[in-house]
Amino acid sequence: METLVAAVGLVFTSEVLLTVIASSFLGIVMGAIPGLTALMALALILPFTFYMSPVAAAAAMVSASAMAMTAGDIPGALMRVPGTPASAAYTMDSYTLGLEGKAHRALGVGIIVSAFGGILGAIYLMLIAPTLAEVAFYFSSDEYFWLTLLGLSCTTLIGGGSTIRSAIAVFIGLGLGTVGLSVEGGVPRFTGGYTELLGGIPLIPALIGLFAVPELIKMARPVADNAARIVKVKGRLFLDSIADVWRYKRGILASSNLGAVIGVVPGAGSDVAAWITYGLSRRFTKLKPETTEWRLQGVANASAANNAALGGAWVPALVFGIPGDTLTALVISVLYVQGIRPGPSIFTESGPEVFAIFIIFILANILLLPMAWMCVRAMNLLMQVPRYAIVPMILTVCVVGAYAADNDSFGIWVMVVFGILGWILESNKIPLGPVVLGFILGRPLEQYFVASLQKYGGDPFGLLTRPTATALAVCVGILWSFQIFSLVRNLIGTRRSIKPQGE
Amino acid sequence: MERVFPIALICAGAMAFYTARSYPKSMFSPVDPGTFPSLLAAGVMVCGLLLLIGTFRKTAQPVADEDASANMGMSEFMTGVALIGVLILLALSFDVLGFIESCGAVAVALAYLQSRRIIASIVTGVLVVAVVYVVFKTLLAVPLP
Repeated sequence: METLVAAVGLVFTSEVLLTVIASSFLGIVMGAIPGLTALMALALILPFTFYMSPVAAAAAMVSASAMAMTAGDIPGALMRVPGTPASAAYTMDSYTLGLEGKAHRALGVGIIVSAFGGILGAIYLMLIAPTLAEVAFYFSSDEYFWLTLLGLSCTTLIGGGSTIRSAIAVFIGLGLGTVGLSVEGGVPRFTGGYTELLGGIPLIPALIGLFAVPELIKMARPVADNAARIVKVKGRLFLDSIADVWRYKRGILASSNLGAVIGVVPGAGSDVAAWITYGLSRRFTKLKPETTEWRLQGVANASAANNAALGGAWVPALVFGIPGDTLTALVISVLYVQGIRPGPSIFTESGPEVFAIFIIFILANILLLPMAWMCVRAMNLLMQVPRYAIVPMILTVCVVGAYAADNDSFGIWVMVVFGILGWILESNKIPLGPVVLGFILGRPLEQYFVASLQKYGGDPFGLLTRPTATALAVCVGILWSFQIFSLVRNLIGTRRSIKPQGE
Repeated sequence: MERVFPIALICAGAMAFYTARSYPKSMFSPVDPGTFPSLLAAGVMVCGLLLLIGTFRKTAQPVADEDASANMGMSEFMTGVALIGVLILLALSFDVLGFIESCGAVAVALAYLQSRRIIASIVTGVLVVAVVYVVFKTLLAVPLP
């Protein structure tokens, strides 16, 4: 109770509240502009978080991600351009509703259920994380090794797309994590003689380069006319949608729960949650296809799930230090910079700060309703912002962010090198999310590996002596067997038509 | 062209493997400093090889895994090269010229790259640098050069 009171005290300060409002505004604008994702919003906020208190920094990340995720629905419904990969699942439904003059109902339902899903995800986070942390106290380096490996394996399997390419991404990320002094013996590895790299590759400039530069390249192409035609929103956004939300209440509740659970699985995230719940709602619906009700149901279920997954993804991030998705990978880097170390002891070491994050989750999702309403009403105005002004602004902020990480222009070089790497990888369809997860988890994975092998005198089978470690190893084994079987089946030339999974 | 990336990957993995094996052995630990990077380098090489094999098996390839042709348009490639070039120039000049001059020039160049309008690009560049400078240098006290 004392922790909760302290957490409330940390949240309701002018710094945190202003940060929530400002980052919500940035998040909603970024999400609503086609091409700018929630990830880009967080990458832009990173430089500002260096100058905030830990709670304000976390508040900025939570608010911006929740807002951008929901705002991604707006260009989908009005322009048929999904603002985020998660909103792509139901863009056609919401846009069709827009063409029929029902954009207000599609957006109204989407926004209300997003707020509901987000709050439910936060409740999951509040209930699961502390309980899981108590269990995690009994974990040794063996369990952590297998758990980290499980998270990385899930990333390659669940993330969608090609298994080989995801595996390459994970290996590259893990390899980047080995740069610097070695865990054992302090030997400089892959530093190229740069003393700045002895402590490892600077995380923040690397993340900015990896995510922002490839996006900027996509955006920087010459544009003839950026004032796109958009569907007008007529009618009352929320009042006309409440009846729809009530009609689909069971599906929304089930999707929110499923989304939160999917979010907890490392490597899955909001995109997977949206696609799975959308698919399930289509599979089990009793409504006549292609009708207004049928379309609204799909929008409602998937919208609720993607915001619920945001909260769920924080569970492994906070309790084990294993990011649930790319957004939480960025969040973890900010928490480390702020001196909050994710792990089972986070609740004892930084209890009030963690509970403050839970409160901010709920606060941000409540704030979502008025912010999204304003954004929908201002959408025409927002589309008038010339794109040629957005790219230089983002790039300049990124450069300052890379510099400000250590107040050293070496950070700008790191950003440029990682920007080139990200561009090459994306051009060859290598997903960047697993690179980041591997990069962040590379050093801890090696630490657990070395500690366990030292404990067992170099015998790798020692990693299988503890029951929980063995159970986790079995899970990893099953996942890998499945992947190897699938790869071998493809390589030996099975000519059966296999439907590609959604990228 | 699509085989260049897997071959480059295999070469990079081989180089990393060779470098990792050259690190001194640990006297007190069963795990050497090069063990973990060697395993990862081997993983990169194996995956690169699988990717390369996939490019030779183009007959029945409905699988997303192996339809690996790098699908980058020429305009995106040129934009990418231009942006990377601009970024390298910026990194080179940042300490010498300072934030305002280097970022200002880059902002104007990028705005022009998209809009092809000189006056609008200059106005955009000046405004962008002014806003970022005021926010970071004045309000957040970042020691920008």
